[in-house]
Amino acid sequence: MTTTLPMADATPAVRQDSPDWVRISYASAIALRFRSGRFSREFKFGGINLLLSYDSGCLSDCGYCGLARNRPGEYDDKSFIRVEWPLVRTDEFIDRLVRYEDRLTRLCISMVTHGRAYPDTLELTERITSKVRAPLSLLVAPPTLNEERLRSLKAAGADMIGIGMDAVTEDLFASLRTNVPQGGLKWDQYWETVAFARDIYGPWHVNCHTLVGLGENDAQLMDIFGRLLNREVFSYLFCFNPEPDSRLGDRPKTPIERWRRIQLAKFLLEERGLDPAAFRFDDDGMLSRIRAPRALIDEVVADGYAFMTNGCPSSGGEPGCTRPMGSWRPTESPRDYPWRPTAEDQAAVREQLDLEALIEPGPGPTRPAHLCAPPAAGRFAPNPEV
Amino acid sequence: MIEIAGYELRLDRLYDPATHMWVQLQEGCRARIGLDPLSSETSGDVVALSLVEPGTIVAQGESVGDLEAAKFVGPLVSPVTGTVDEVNRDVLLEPALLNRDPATNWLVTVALDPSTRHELDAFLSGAEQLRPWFTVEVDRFRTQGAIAE
Ligand code: SF4
Repeated sequence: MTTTLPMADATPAVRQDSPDWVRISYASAIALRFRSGRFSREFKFGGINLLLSYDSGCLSDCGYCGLARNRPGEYDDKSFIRVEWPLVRTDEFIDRLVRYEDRLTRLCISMVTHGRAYPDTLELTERITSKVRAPLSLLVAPPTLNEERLRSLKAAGADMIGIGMDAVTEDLFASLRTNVPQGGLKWDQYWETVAFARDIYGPWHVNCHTLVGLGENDAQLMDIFGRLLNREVFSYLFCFNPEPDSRLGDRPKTPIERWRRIQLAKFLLEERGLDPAAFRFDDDGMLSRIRAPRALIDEVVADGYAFMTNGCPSSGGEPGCTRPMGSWRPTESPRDYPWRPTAEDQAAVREQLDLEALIEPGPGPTRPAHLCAPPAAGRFAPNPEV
Repeated sequence: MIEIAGYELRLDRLYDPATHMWVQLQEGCRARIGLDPLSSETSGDVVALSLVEPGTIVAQGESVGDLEAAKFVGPLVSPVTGTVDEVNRDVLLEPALLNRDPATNWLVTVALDPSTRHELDAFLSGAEQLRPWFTVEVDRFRTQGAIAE
């Protein structure tokens, strides 16, 4: 079959750069009918992710990223989170957002470190929000921003700011993002952006992406979750998934058992108000025990939201950005579920958690409900269509 | 060859409406099987493939392998009963061939079990049978949103 689509030419005569062109996630390309394809399981999907695209690529060089410029191959050949992100014409992309608006739950523009990233993001934000009502997040590149620019982006219609902290300690951040060839990203600058964004966008309108599996331990993850919780900033969990030709390409994927325990512990801390002292760590800082009432744990596992994708919500507070198969292959057990876990999924989660070894009786939540985080995975309205 | 809703279907083979596989009869009571163009397209970009080893006995409806696409994984269901006697190593090495040309890039060849030849009776062939079935299927996948516009 031959279908002519408004996609990028294989060998473009002119540059196909943002803002006239953007990359969109493969899942977004299916949802907007740029690409044929299906998901292994049927579920409602409306979280559209786009990424600025430049011929010269991203100017940063993070050790785990599929877009880092300091690796073999042209920018066009590289995959972002493994699967290709198709390049599409912005005009056509916005037309399709309008056409499929009733299905959209959340839109997000991911910046890259590039000299044009700010003006292009501003332009795209204005163009999109003038045509489409779905809420728009920005996953920002701190080196390209300052307080004033964050204000302008809000005025243009963005309602949430994401900061790709990824590495959760200063040392790890430095080793992967600062002290690398063409690195130079600064831990302090990232936190400064968190602070500005929190002031400008308000409580629970800022999030930090935190990546599990870069070399941190569980205690360090729980520490950053706690600090962000106290600032009313979301932490959104991401699972490290090696990019084949990145400097961390040989690092193993985070084991699912560890990942599940972190999902559970984070949820109990943030959304159920369990005291930080309830989490016990071994000598290596890895989570060894959670002291909590067993009934609470069983209820959380059965409820399932702890294991769903953390992401910016829809305007109605439902799951918005669910990034299906963003860090797992369709052949694998989902790392973060873009749908509400079914009974079968729950059984797998229970086995992966090994609750008998993890949980010991302990006191219930101590944090007052009004100081707990709102749902990081959103909440479906009653009678959800999974 | 005929064209239906933009898809080319070769008329030198049978099509199984239940599995969206084509079956091309070969000499010596053998059948070559592959994906029909709708199955290939609606899977999305195929990134990995596994196929059973030659010598494997398969019943109709059993899997002869698995297909993994960008956001989809599913079994490759055999439309026929028999013994797999050949697998296409080219598609194992380059699974994207299944997107590029599913009519040429077959999956396996099966030595048919003579006692189950009646299975072929349910398959469709020729323009008259293929057109109504395939038109409805294209509509169905379009409504599901699995086909690019
Ligand atoms: S969770 Fe999704 S929508 Fe929110 S900032 Fe991250 S990528 Fe963007």
